[in-house]
Amino acid sequence: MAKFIVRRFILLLITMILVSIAVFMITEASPGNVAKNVLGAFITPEQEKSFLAQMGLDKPAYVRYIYWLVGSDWLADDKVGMKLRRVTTEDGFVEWWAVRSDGALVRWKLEGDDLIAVARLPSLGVATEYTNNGRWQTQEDGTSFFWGVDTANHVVKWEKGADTEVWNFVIGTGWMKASGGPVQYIPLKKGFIRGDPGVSLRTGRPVSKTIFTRLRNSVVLAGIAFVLVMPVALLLGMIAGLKEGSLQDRFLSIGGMIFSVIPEFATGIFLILIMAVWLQIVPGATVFGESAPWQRPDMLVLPVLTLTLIELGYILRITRASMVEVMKSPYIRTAQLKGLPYWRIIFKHAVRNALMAPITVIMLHVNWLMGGIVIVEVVFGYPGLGKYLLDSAMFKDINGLEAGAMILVLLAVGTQLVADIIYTFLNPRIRYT
Amino acid sequence: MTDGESAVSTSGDAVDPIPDLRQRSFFQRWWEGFSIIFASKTAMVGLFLVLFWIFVAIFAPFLTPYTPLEQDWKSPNIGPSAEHPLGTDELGRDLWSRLIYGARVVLVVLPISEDLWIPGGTAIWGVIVALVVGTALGLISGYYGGWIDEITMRLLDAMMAVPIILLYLIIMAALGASAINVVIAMTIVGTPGIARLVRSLTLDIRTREYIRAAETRGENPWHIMFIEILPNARGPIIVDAMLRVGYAIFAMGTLGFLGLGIPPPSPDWGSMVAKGREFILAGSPWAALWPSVAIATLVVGLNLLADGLREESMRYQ
Amino acid sequence: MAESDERAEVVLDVEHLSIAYETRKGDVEAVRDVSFTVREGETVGLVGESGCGKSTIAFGIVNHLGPNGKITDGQIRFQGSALTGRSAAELKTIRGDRIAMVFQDPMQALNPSVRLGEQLAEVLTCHREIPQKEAWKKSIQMLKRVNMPDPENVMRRYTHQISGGQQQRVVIAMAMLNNPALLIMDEPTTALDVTVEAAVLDLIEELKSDFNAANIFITHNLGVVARVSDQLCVMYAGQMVEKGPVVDIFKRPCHPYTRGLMAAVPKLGDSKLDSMLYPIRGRVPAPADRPKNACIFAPRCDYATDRCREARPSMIQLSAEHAARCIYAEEIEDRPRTNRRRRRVEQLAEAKKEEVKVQTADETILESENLKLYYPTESESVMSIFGLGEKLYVKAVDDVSLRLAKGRTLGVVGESGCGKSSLVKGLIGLEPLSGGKLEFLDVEVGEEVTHRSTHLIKEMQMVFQNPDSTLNPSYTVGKQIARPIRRFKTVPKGQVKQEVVRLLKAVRLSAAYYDRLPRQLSGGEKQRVGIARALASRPDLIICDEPVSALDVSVQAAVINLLLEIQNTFGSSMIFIAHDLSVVRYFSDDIAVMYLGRIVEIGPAEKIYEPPYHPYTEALLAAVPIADPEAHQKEIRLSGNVPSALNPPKGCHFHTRCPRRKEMLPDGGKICETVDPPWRQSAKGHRILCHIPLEDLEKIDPVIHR
Ligand SMILES: Nc1ncnc2c1ncn2[C@@H]1O[C@H](COP(=O)(O)OP(=O)(O)OP(=O)(O)O)[C@@H](O)[C@H]1O
Ligand code: SF4
Ligand code: SF4
Ligand SMILES: [Mg+2]
Repeated sequence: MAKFIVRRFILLLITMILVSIAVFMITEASPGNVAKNVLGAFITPEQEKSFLAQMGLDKPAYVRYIYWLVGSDWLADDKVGMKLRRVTTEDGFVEWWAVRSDGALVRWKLEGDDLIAVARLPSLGVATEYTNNGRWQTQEDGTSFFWGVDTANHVVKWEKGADTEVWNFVIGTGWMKASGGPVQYIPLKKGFIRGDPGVSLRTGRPVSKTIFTRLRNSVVLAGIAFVLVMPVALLLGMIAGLKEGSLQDRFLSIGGMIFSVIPEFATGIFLILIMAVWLQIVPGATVFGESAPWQRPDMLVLPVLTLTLIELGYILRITRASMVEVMKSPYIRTAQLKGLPYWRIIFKHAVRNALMAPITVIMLHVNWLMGGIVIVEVVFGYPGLGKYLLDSAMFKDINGLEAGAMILVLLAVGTQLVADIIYTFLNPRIRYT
Repeated sequence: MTDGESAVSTSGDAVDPIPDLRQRSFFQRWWEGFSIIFASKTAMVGLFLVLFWIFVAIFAPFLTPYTPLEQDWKSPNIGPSAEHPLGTDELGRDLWSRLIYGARVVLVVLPISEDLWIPGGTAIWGVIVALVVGTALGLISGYYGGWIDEITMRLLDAMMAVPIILLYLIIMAALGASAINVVIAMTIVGTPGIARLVRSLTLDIRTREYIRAAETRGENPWHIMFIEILPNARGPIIVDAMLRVGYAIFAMGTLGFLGLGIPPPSPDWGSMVAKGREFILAGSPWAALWPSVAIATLVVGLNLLADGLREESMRYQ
Repeated sequence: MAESDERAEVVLDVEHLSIAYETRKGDVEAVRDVSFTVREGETVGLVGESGCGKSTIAFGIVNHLGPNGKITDGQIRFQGSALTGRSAAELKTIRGDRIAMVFQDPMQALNPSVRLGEQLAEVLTCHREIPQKEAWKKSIQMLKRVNMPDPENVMRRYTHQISGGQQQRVVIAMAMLNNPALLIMDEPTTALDVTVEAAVLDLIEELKSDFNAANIFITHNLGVVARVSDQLCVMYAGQMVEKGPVVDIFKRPCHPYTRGLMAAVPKLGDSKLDSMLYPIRGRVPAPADRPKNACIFAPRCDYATDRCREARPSMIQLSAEHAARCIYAEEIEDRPRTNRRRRRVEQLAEAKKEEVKVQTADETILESENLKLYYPTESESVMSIFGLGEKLYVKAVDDVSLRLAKGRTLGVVGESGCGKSSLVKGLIGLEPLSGGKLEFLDVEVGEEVTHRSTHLIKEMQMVFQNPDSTLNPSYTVGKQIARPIRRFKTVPKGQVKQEVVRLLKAVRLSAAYYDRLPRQLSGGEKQRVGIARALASRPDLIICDEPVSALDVSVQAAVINLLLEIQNTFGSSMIFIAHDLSVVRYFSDDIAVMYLGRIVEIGPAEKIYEPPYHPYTEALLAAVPIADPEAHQKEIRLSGNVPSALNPPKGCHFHTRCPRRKEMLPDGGKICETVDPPWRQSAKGHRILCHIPLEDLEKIDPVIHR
């Protein structure tokens, strides 16, 4: 058993690494599109180039991957010669500062040829500015340069007289051309495994801020559906299996099949048309605004119903098949020939064996279910993780997509692990060997 | 060997009488297998639905006066009428033509570029390519075993552990939307499952004695894999492939709906629903309804057919 | 025995029972007009080949025929009242209480996820008003009664945690719990090894005298039925063809089918040199193809005349209890045979006797020295994922040395799991050897088959066990036989087809089989095609891995004869593996007895079957069911199970079960637990691996007296 769990963990690690690499390849395939997605279609090549440099997107993919995975601050530390620290502001934005030996936080900016340091104490938010030309260093070719933290969370290298043109995009204002920009950028990150999924390119906000709300919303949706589906589907499946070939069985299994094979978006559309447009009992779309999903149960009805129908059919059919098989097995024959009462045969001898297969299959099905959730969220405009993921993918928002993907993989492999444990628990043949 | 010859000739008359076995031709047997469809009502219903869509897909150009792209800007978003039997969409395109041309892309043609296409629908190609790749992988890793098997299977395990929708998102986002890329995505997504199935079949068949007989003859591994093993695995593979066609259509629709499928303006059921959805609450449900009905009937038809067949063939065993 | 108490109460009376199954092609009559009675304290044996309707009768009695089976005619009376036409509820109270059943495969018959104790106790609590505690206690007593070691502990275990023999004991205990009036056993020992089977059969005998239940014992094995039953019913194609006291039938079988069955199996001790096997031609017809208005056996009968094809014969009473369904039953011994096939078998016997003398050339074809074949297995520890854990091996073949002379046959016997098949795989190169030396045709062949040279490969070919998997279902018979011919280029390209037809004829199949697919052949026919395929490369050595054990008795003889004939005409050497000691004795010149990967005794066939014996050989011989109710065997039963090959006992592998070491060695045989036993050379070429000195082993009585 221990061996088994270790195996699963290794699998989980491999999977996560593979997926995260695959996600990086998206931008590799079309890096220009990211800039266009963020800045609109009409940017000039210079603007694009400058933007990519600032985002670190001009670096080779493996470098970006390493920055994303383990962060870049440990590398930048050396260049600046000071410790770097990440602070989160009250309104949720992330700022990077260098830590001066007296404990104060500093960043720099360039005004003309003057290096201006912006410093503040970690406790008080007020920043003071002073000229800090003493930090210029001299390169072999005689020019002066300086590594420091700029005001937009990069470690940058300024060179005196290089006079690089940069384009800064300021939300609200638009494009600002500035001269005297840095010649090299290292975007600062803590790295995914150190708990920092980065900043979303799409919203400019840290991914971790939004993604947990979205995850919560999805879990609410899937959880309600799951709790509704399981008992009903298992029960109906067992009934159908016990009465194999009867009218009830045909009705249940064909009905279940139909619901489980129709794509979720079609089911969703049918439900909207019937329940929202025609009967007008519940709203056909979900708009929660700031409130949590459970505060508007009426809006949850259709998304939950759609998911329920799909899963119901699937689980019902698996349970039925398993029940049919068990009822044909020799040990059930033995039980019948022992003259046991019908109900004892069913509950003592059949049910447990009949549940073993469905439980694992259902847990494996979580993979599938996630697809269903994405679709349902899109159909109903439900603000869940699935929709977040889709939007990030369409936008090629690496950080958002990576974080979402990692959560999905974690959930998928995690449920499989749970399934295996339940299975061992149900099946003494595995438990005692 | 000379006395071997004599042994044969002296006892040649003593061979066992052959029991009278009616030798049936290939077609008779095939027909016999096929005719069990008629024994099952569900299979008949399924067959009817599937044949209907195959028929309209093949003869699409003869079944409508419009092309799927023709816009009638004077009558957008109308309901069924004499000119437009199923109504029009938001650009005034005829829904019936878009529907049946959509079926064409699913079932009979694979558009490669603007004006180049090859026969075999997108869904069909998605299944076939995955089948070829998965079968080869499964055979090799099942037959050789050892570290080849270990590595292939761990990789495929990892792929199977990834939620399918995520896989689709990643692949389509990286490759961009086009019919060929849909086929590629379906291949990547479908391969692990097929490879696992074929591998487990191979592991089973490998232990059969005729394989041992081939090994004792010193046959090379390729002969054993492709000549001795593969033909005996075909039954379950074909059944699996049938179910996969249904699933491929499902996936195509889903991708289209998410905007990851065949790019507009070409008619695609999924993207038609996605577009039409925006106008439901505005009071014109037709553009979303029809393609939903289309995909539902086709997928349900395929599954009814497969189900009925399976049930009927298991009935008296 | 039965004759001694004629007045014992009749428990079950079956009259003119017919049972049919509904199928797609209409009703299939599986059982037709069967009548018999079972008395208290008496065992009725039902024998017949597979598909004869034995199980159908058993399920018919308890009315458990499944959704498509039904009783179409006849009466079943149980303790005086009719069982047919009862309601399900009434049947339920009788099943498991008054009538109990035991099935073939105990692993399948027990619920894998319910503790054995619960499965036992519920039989009591469901039929009686018995508190749970008492039921539990009674179950433990019953387990003790069936000689289960450590019953309290077994009650708490699951099915997979005890061995096959123990599982069957649990099933039997479960059946006996309510002291049933009728016990039906459907092939209860078929899935077990000989030594375990013998112990279970002993148990069944004991229980019969203790509980005085009426028993029905279904089997296809004449030896088993001779050991346990009092009355015998012989079934053929759904009909009962002969019934009577078991001794009478074995002494004077009156139906041609019964006679055929008995002539088709070798008695223990028979050898190819002094006796012949007579197969029954053809095969058991499928229910749909059975003759309608004729003797059902007519197509295969050696005595059939036109009269037989006019009407169905009825049972002819031969004595008070002995009856047979043949119009010539009374005079069958003196009837002329109407088929010349038997003559051919006799000719063959003549021809063979002459050739016996020629077979003495002493040229070695295959020799192995200290051959080892280990299978690596993964240990349970977490470290093994990273390849760091300690390596474990199943020692399937451990230090095997043997020598095979040209033109001779070496038989290998042993219980399942002793390494027979692994040995063969090692010899033929399907598994890599882990050590030792192997020479074939004076060439060292330690490597796997893929690295051997074609001319060596073609000289060693194999015949397999399972007729259903020996042929590739996707190709015609002709193609499959042609493949080795093409590969080894035994004949020029143009003549391949002729060669295939010639081979088909050599295995007594007509050229019409060329285009058949395997699924159109019967088991025996498939096996013959398998032999033809092995012959195609004209090998010097043919290895037969249980070639007949999956075949019906009547067909076995034909295949054995065919193999003998081939050996005579082609002069090939053979290695013949089987678990049936009678068959091996019949077929082989030399025999090796294997236990847990080692050969424990090896020598000329006749030497193995008489003292001095290796203690294991002795126990095996004592366990073989002999198809003769009057034969007497020593009663030596092995205790315990075959230990796991993953961790075989130290010293002599057999010491955990050896019945001889305590009585025949000083110090209770302590030495066997630590020291590997030495080889003891008996007569020429006969060796025994044992610590007991040869002189002592020689003093042991023979196992079988008649
Ligand atoms: N459920 C069923 N449906 C149709 N035919 C059946 C069914 N069960 C058995 N038969 C047929 O009935 C005949 C008798 O079968 P049965 O199992 O009683 O034979 P048996 O003597 O017990 O054979 P075995 O030695 O293999 O156990 C066979 O021809 C078999 O094919
Ligand atoms: S009645 Fe005829 S065919 Fe039947 S067993 Fe007797 S001799 Fe043979
Ligand atoms: S060596 Fe000892 S344990 Fe082994 S067979 Fe001989 S007496 Fe028995
Ligand atoms: Mg049977």
